[in-house]
Amino acid sequence: MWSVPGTSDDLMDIVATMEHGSDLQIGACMPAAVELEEQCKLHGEVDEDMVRQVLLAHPVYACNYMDATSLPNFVPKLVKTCFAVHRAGNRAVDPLGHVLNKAWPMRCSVRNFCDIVSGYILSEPEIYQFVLLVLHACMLGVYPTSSNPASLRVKMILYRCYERDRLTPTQLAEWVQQKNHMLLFIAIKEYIAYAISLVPGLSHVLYEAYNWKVFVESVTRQADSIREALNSYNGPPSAMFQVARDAVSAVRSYKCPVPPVDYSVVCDNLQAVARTAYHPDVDVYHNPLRMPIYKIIRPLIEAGAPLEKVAVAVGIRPDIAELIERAVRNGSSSAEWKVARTIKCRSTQESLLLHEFIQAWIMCHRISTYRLPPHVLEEQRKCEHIRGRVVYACACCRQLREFVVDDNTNNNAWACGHHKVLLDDRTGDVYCGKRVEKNSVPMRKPATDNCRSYWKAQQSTMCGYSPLMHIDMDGYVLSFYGKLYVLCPCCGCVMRLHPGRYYNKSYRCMHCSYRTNSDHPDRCFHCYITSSELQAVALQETAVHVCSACLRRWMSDDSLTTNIGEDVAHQAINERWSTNRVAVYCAGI
Amino acid sequence: MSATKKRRRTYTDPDATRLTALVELDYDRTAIDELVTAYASSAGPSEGSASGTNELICCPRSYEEEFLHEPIGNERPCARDGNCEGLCIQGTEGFLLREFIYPGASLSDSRQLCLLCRRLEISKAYYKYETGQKITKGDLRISRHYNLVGINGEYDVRDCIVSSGQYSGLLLPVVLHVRSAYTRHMIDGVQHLTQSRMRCPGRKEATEMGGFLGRRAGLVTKPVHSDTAPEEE
Repeated sequence: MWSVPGTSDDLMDIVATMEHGSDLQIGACMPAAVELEEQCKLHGEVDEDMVRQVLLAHPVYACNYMDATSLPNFVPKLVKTCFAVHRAGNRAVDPLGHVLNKAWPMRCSVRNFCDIVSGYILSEPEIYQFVLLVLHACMLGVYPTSSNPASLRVKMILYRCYERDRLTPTQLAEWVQQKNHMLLFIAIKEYIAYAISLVPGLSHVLYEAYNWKVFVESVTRQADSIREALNSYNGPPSAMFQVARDAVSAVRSYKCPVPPVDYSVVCDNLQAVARTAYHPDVDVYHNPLRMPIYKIIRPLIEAGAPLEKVAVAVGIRPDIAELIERAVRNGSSSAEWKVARTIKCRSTQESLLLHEFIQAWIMCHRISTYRLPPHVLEEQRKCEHIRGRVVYACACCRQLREFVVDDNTNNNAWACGHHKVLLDDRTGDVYCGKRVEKNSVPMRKPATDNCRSYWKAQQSTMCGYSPLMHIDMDGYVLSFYGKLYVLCPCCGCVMRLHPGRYYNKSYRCMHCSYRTNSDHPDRCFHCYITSSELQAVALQETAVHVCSACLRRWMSDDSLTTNIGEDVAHQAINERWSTNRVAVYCAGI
Repeated sequence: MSATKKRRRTYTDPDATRLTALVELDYDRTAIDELVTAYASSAGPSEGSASGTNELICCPRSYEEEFLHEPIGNERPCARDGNCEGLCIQGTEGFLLREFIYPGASLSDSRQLCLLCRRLEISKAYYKYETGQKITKGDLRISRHYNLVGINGEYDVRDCIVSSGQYSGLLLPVVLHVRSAYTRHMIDGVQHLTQSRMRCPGRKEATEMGGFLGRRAGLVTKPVHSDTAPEEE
């Protein structure tokens, strides 16, 4: 029972609410009640004035109550960083995603968790707030699955700890280091379980493919035991978390399985098999077979022929083809992949054929085009640069040989043509012009070399020998090794398609988005970067702003700039025209 | 010295010669053609190519919101009856929603799903393909409609699902069904759902964090809360 000595009517109301009120009412009164306790400690009892002052400073608002809907929605982050285990890279750039990823059900996730989270708490304010929030929510038992909600006494202690006198980042980081990381670990897991439950489409897939039910039950059980320990604890608040920590039994390792049909994982495994089958003692990089094989097997794979038949059709040994087929059919089954990794080729030719066949098979599965919806097609038709547009892609370095417009490519806003493409003027074939560093040129097998590094080195040099793929982009969206590309319906550039690019009924490239957005007068007219140091340049019809990176010497000469239009100005910046060349151009007008 | 260099440049490994010959190996094209014919005929006509050319239906927010209430008059309830998602809204007692009809479509003989159940089915298919399962049927689309994003009064792309890394059947955004994104209100004695926790470009609201972020919207410094419907605020 909670009480504070005093005779004020308002105080009586608060006492009655704290004793008999609903969770919402108690939560609403919590800041005032805790403050009244503090006043009582100072003065012995509280009078009417004190109560009035307290209520002015800490009004009774429903927003003081914490329930599950008070929590932030990090489902997109969960999907991005945790859901697809093969999508590495997000963890390193996104601290919150990294923390969520550590708590995602998978093996070895506790390792380094303590150090990682403590570091983030100190450096990332977002993580600090998130940690406080999920700890508070877990210990209160705000989730619908919680069976032991916190008692009033515990609620008040938690309010002091997480809201009123909340720990500073340094204190919180230290607290986590004092073996309390398991409490945080379970709190984040319980949050994840709750967040997923609110998105039924996602939870349905998780329940089916990832045995999610076991995870949810185990986490709820652990969190309930923490809350039970907190509720039954009667000692001083300082030792409360230690009791909660002791209540956490050993967290059972729960591995989140890779879905059996994850083609990204299958492709990686297949590549590993091909690269350990044989270690040739000669260079093979001048014999890339993947493009001819790709052209042969693509119709077969599109027709639905199994891997084994396709492999045998192009000359792979039937026993090897069977082992690979069995592994692919069973998806992530480790036993089958273990057998597949024992495959050994007998000669350089055989291993090259296997390696290149696997690469071609991966190409078939990771490179596809999909027809755009009719209304987007119609929009594209209005752009003159799009009709019949073909892009080049390298099957060896897995790069589009185009000036792809993405968020970080502001320097190719006006680039034309193809990027790093070599033309064989004898045959008319085009090749990848990727610059091969001297140290990546494959050498004869050194003592420390292994199969994988041999094949990687060979592949990195293959580019110049393998003709580029021609991909028709007119009316299609291209899925290329895990990224989507499309032609911008406004300017016709090759753009990377991701959710941030959608606008109205279709999408816009970064440059067209900026062009249509007039809220940014502080952008350079050429590269679109925002800068506070822009210089005005008077062109033929308009005055534009140019950043220091795009500023050229000829721009200071108004007699030249007033003769050229915007298009020529872009060209002159891109091609780094000298003042003389600009002058010659102006003279020729 | 120069002769040595030249010799080194023109030196050809005997193995390399054999490998060059391999490129010219002739595959049994007849066998491959037979395989293609056999599998293409067993797979039957491709549905994907047909679905890829179908016009997608644009569903504006205001149109969709007209269907977020219980059936009145001759309107029919969701085809799922007791399993309708309208009954599973978080934080409030739900109700059976009316069936959702696409703009311009006429009433069909059989009852259709409500908007929330339709969104749920799309998200199920989307996440199925997002987990790594590859779409095998050409241009398969998992939704017949799409939503407008980024313009005033419509949806925010952050509340939608759309293919981003690999193609997962959604080339244009569709709103993701989240059970806590809705609040219930009574208007003229009819139960309505409001998409109050979904962001809306051009509307200044406390839904910046979106989704199931209700009141205190964690990580927001100043708590925001209301017990009343957005219209009443």
